[in-house]
Amino acid sequence: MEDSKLLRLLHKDPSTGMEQLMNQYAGLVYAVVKGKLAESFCVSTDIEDCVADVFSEFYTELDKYDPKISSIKSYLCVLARYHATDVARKRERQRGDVSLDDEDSLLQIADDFTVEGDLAEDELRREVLSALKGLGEPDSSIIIRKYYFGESSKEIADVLKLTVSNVDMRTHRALNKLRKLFGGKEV
Amino acid sequence: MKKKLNEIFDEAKPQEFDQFSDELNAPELPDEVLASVKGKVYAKTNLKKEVKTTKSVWLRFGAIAACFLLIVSAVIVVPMLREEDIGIEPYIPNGEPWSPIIDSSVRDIVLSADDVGNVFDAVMDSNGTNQYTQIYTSLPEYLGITPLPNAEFLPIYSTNKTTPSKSELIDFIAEYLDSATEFFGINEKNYEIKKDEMWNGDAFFKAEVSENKKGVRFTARNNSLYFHYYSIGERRLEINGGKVSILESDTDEQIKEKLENTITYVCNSFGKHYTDIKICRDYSYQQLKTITVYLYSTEETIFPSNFSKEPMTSDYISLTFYTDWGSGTYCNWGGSKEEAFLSDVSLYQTSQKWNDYYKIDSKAKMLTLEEAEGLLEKGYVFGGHSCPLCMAAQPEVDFSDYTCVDIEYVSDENGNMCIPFYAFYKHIGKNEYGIDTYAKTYVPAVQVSGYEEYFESQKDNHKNNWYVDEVG
Repeated sequence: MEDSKLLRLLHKDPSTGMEQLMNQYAGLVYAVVKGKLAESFCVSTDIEDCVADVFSEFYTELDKYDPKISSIKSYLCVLARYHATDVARKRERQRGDVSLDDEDSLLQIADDFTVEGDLAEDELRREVLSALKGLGEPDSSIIIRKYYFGESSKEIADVLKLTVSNVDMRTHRALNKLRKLFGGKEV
Repeated sequence: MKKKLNEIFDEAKPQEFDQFSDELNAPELPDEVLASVKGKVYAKTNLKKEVKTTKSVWLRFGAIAACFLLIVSAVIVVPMLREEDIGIEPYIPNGEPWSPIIDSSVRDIVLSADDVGNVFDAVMDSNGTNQYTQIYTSLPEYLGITPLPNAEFLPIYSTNKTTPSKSELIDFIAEYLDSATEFFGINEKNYEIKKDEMWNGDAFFKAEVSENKKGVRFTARNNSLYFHYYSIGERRLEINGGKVSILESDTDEQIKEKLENTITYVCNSFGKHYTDIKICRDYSYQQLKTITVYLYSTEETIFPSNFSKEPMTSDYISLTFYTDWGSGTYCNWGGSKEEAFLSDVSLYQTSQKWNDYYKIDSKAKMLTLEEAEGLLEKGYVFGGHSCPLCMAAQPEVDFSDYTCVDIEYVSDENGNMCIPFYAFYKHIGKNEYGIDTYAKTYVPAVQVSGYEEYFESQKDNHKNNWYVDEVG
């Protein structure tokens, strides 16, 4: 269902609207949350709770969503990432033996890809995302799946109908391309 | 500067993700996981889980309707949707009919059926019908209908919405901060004015004072300056040291009698004196959720909204009572399940007189009730998706012996056109909670041209209707 119709339904009949919203986007929100929580020692119920929090917040703060600024899909992805980051930090603090400032542990959780540049933070982010889009398919999908959804090369290969080695090679080349664009060094 | 790709994703804004619409795809969740997530969402938000209608029935009706071109007729069979009809007598409201005041210089027009159809959302009603909606209420008196106007012409309005300014909000807070915080038992006086946005992009200003999980919120929005109380956890509001309650089954007269002292106390607390009381009952989700008591004084306006339904068109104070069901499972009312407790007292001050808000653009010749009944018989009804194919697939309701009728103005979402309709109500039984159910349908109350062409053209919309697409 397109966003304008979904939004009208959410306002006119919240129960039906939320049912439709979750049917449409629960899979995506789950993937985003799982991608962030996969390395944070979270169990499936943590992921489900987090997904539920995302939809609950979307509903209770519906007045804050502005369809002129973004699609519902993008808005939910950002909410999901935000909630998942919060849960990940709490879990890591609970574990006690992982410091958020520990660069090595962060490298273990996230890729060691970094971007160097003199651009202001917001502008840098927009440039990176734009460049990521500019990689074209299937590279942009591979990067999104790997670093946003946290999928493995095998999972990505299955979905995109590629071989695992092809996925790894494309990932390596795409990251080098991005590094080069932003003044970093190729690896 | 160094940045990890994951940090880039963490900090990205929604509009920056729109470009990845194609890449942001994920498989559907397994049924049991989806069901688990939904259950948690419903528990957190207190939304009722959608009761699925017999979708397979819709599939059968949809398939049959798609094979035939049917012209709508609203009069054939009388099936009961739930229990047997208990035989509600026709209801005729008391009171004086409204007399519209229209300047002689206002032009005459004849509306087109397209104009009329466009004031309604073209989505299927959640009750599974689009030829009529379902309304729930305990007594026909609670439908809020009034005597039909006796007029040759009815006004067609447009709306002129103005949001109060930040300085107006500041003045409003200055006027009521002390009385409101004292009334609600809040010692905090510090506040900060913030700017916020509605889902439709309209900006507005707000401020709040809060302590110990309760507070007062001051807002400037939708032509009004207002404040209301909120609390997290305990939702019962104490007045003068005691909780205030009424029974769900109380009549309007019983409510007025029980609340006489409370109303006096509330008005005196804010330096107000009102002459009228209106009581509205909200039957959201088919059960009684809230009872709201409006205190106001009748003002002469060109718009009759104060006569029957929300929104109010003059300054007012409202007292909102939540029923045990309406309060939510996590609130733990305690006590009798039949009591509705006071949860909020709000004060509204319209920043703009309603004669400025509703502007009479034109006038149109009013149809007599007999003429409107003729349109009803032909099936020229409005209220949502008007495709004859979909309407023919619905359980039919015989409106020829309708229970009551009202004049109701309906506006499109932008307020460009506000049009009068005859709203026909037909009692069709009781729902699963024992609440009387009415089918409600709209017929234009003024002259309209192009009915046949309009309903024929709606068949094109049949393919574009999301619900039809879903069921094929």
